[in-house]
Amino acid sequence: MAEPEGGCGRTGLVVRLARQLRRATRVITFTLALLLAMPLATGCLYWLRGPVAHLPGPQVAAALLLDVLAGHGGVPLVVYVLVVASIYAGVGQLARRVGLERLSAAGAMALSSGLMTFLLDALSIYIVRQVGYGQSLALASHAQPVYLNALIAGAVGAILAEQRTMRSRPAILFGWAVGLAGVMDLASAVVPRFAHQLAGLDGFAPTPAPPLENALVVPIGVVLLLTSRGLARGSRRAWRVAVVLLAASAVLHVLKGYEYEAATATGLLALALIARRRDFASRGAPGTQPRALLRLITVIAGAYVYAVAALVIDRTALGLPSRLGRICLVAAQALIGLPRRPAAYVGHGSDWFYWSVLSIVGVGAGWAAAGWLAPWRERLSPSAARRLRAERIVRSSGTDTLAPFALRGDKDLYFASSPASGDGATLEEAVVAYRVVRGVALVSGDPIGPPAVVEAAFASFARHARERGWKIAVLGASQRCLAMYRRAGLRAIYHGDEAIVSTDGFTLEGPAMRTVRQGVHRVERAGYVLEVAYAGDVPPELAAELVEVERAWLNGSRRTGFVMEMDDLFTLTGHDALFAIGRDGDRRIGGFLHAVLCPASASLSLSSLPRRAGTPNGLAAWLIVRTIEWAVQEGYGQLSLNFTPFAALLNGEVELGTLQRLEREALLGAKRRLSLQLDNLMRFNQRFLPRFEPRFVVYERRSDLPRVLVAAMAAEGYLPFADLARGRAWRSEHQAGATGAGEADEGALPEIASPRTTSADESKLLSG
Amino acid sequence: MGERVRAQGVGRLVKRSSLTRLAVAVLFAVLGIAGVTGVVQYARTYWLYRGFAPPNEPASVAVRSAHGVRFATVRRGTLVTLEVRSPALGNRPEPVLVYLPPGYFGHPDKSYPVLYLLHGTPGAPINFFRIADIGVLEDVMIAKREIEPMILVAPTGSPSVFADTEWVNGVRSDTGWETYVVRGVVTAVDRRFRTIRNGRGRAIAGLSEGGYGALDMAFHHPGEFDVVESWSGYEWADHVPGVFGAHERPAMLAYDSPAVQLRRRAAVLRQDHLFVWLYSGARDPLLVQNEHFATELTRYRIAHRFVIVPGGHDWKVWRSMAGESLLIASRHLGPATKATARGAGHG
Repeated sequence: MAEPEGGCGRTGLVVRLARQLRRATRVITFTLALLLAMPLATGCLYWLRGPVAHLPGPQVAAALLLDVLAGHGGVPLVVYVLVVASIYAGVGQLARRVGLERLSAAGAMALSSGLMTFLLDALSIYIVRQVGYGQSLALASHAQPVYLNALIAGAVGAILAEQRTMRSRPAILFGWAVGLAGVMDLASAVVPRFAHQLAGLDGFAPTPAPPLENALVVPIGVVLLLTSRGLARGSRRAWRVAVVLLAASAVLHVLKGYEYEAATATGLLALALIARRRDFASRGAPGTQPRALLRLITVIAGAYVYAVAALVIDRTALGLPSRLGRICLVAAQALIGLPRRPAAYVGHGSDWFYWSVLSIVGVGAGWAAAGWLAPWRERLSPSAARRLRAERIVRSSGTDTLAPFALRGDKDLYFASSPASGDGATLEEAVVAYRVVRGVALVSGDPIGPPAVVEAAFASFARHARERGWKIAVLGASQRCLAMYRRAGLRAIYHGDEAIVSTDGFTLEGPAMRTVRQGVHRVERAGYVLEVAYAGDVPPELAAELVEVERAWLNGSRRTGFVMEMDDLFTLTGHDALFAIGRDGDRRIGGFLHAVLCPASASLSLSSLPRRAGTPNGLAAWLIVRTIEWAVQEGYGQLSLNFTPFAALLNGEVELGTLQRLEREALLGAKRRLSLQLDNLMRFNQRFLPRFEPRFVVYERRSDLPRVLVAAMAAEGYLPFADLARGRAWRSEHQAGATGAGEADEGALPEIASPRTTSADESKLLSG
Repeated sequence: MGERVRAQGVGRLVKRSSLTRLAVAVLFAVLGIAGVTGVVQYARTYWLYRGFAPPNEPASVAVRSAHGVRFATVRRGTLVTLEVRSPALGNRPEPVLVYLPPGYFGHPDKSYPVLYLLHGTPGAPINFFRIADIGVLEDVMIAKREIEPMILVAPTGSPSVFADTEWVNGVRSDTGWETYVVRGVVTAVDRRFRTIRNGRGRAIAGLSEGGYGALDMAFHHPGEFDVVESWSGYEWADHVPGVFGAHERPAMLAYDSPAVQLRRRAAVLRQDHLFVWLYSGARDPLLVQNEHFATELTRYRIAHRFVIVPGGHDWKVWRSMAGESLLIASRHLGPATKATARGAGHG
């Protein structure tokens, strides 16, 4: 037995050695290719130089440095780029075989290409110019090909090398970097640099800062600045624009002459963007393309009309003849930044003309780009059919007590379906309710649907969101789904607890219920009776009365809530919501409890609890207790009371860790200073001996938390100018329409009480 | 380290089809061959012609005169190589290029003036003919009757292309380059060809280091050369250890610095009517030295002409000024004369 094993061992060794030898061969070949690519490209350019000499366009002045003195060292830029790129495409293929990752390949190829060109150019300058080593190196460091070759080789490497799954780098860094490049471009145009320090360089670089290149840098800088925001969102369109503009900017910097630092910086950034192109996958908003195009056409047409008019007026004012054909030509040239030569027609001191035309074009290009790169805004218009689909899913699968709140009118609905298990014919469907606030898709509660579909639905929604460049945050996520979120690469942070009273076995007996019992008795003594009605059974007169009670309760304050409250008393109709109404001895409504129903889990969720002023203390407790009694009769097993932020931290009975103690202290400090009602709400809930279900905020990256926090607060309506922060079209059609009874006066829509208002009142109520 | 995923984008295109792979392989092979042959040709044409077009002798040239334009036939001169042995270089043979003007063989009764041309470092005598096209220029200018025919002599000034000799008599044995030129080459040329065998019929010119060498030789040997031309040369000896020794020898450096020798020998040079013609590129680092030297020439009343030309220190300048240098030499040396008794060799 020993022999075959030894044989296997030897075979394994041979195989390993052969593999290593192959790899070593590839690495050596790649290294050799890196060294030889530039001389080979030079050789190809040498043959092509003659045939392409007549091609128009910018030239690379010192492409063939040894021939510069003879006056034919230049090659048209387009040919130069093609040849160098073709040669480096071969090197890029070898980089793939070696298994280099894109960014590394781009770096290696850019560096080797730049370095080889630098050394070859220095040697050529030394030979041709007969100057010292030091001066040759100094002159070579300013030779155009050094930077162009590095840029081209790096770009080819970034395009051709292997894509590997890597930890994604924050696109926001690219956003900042590109923004900075834009600023740099603008600065370089405003502060022109001169070449006096390189007077010995004629023939090796073009005339410093030709006007066209200098002028073009301005609009490029402006648009680069605009793309930075899109890049930070991972926008594909912004990536495209940024890569093209950065490359153009780098080339322009080289052509301008003597701006090699800027060229290097922008070039490297372009390479990094190309290499990390997979990080920019979010599609642009549909419909913005024609708008952007329209803007561009409008601006160009406007600028052209302006240019023609300005020329005609100028020449007329000077008493010069105006030839329309000539004027049209000059105006067209000015549009594409070809000043100076036709300047003869406009006269001396007429820089204003070209600058004004180019400024209009620049600003217009920025305007068009801004439209094209704008964040994907979702117009909220859930159709009746979509709402019905969502309602069906909530009724059948909405076991979570937060599920019915998905049907608020201000949420959009994302549906995902998959074949039912064991049955390929029928589809099972899940729904994700969300709202995009300033680029954050705030998902309201867990996805709703059959358990088998939920995870796939959420993954599908995550893709949907990422394609649009939205950050994802789930508000009110339950512990049950945390594992799913983690599998999707998200993180969770504890937010608070939901207080859920089990109706089964609920009793007012016992010392713990003493306060509640007293309140209930006080209300009973005042002659209050309960009337329960499903939302669909509420007659218009009663609906109007309920709305009026709620309006008085809100007393003009803002409607808040997003995750755990309905946006309107009558968003949910039929048997999806109910009203437990407390009437006093005069049959006047003193207050009511608005709850939503989760038939799937036989539970109720309290949405709001509006009461009239002057009603007896304890009315809220009475309404809750009576609703629980009703629920028991109707077979509902639990009533979700309310959500208490940070309940676990504020609950003094639980032992806390150091960090949690610090958090608790910070929260209590904030409560004292800002008069927040954090723990009062928890104390109110605790009177009913509920169980607490933890709820979480789920998010993508820690760095997103501030954005998520602001978006969530805006969505809940806690921020000043919340509607502004929530974005246009926040209000749904449903909200703005007249589905609810007595909603004719749109401006005076009833609003749901904020938890803060509720809790303040409850504490008062309970203390009495 | 990440995990590899499927090839994407452009890479995938290249990877998928074997036909595409073949096409790509052929493309790269073509590029490779073009690159290798191109770079070889690029280096070769630079080495031979410094990137300029190879010399091309026209069959005829247009000559403008008061009577209109006429075409004159251009007759070719002859380039021959002479091997000269000199005790100054240990009697080893050194090649000397000699350009015999058109008509040299047809006029055995004539003695010709000679222009000696000293190359720079790195450099070789042939550069004057391949890069500066000086042979073609002479033929054309003779056809146009702008200059008189003269013999051009370009000796080798170093044992190899990259060796630096400064055209001076170095401290080491067998490195007497100055003596080799002034005694060995001049004597050999005078013996072999029909030349005007005195200073009146000799000019010496050189580019860069050759310009320095030409001034050095002319100043050290008054009467040997009537005209001296320095093309972008210099006048202060560089302390090149291989030439002047590891330790600096101030006396030797002063002896080999034309700027110093000018002060010492001004009277003799004036007496011999030496004419100095020198130019420097406007961006040539040696311009300052030359400007100062020109001032000194004026101060010591030596007949001269100093020109600042556009450009630096390179072949573009020397090529463009080659015709002018022939003109200057020709004007000062005068025409060929009736041959003296010992005309030999090709004569």
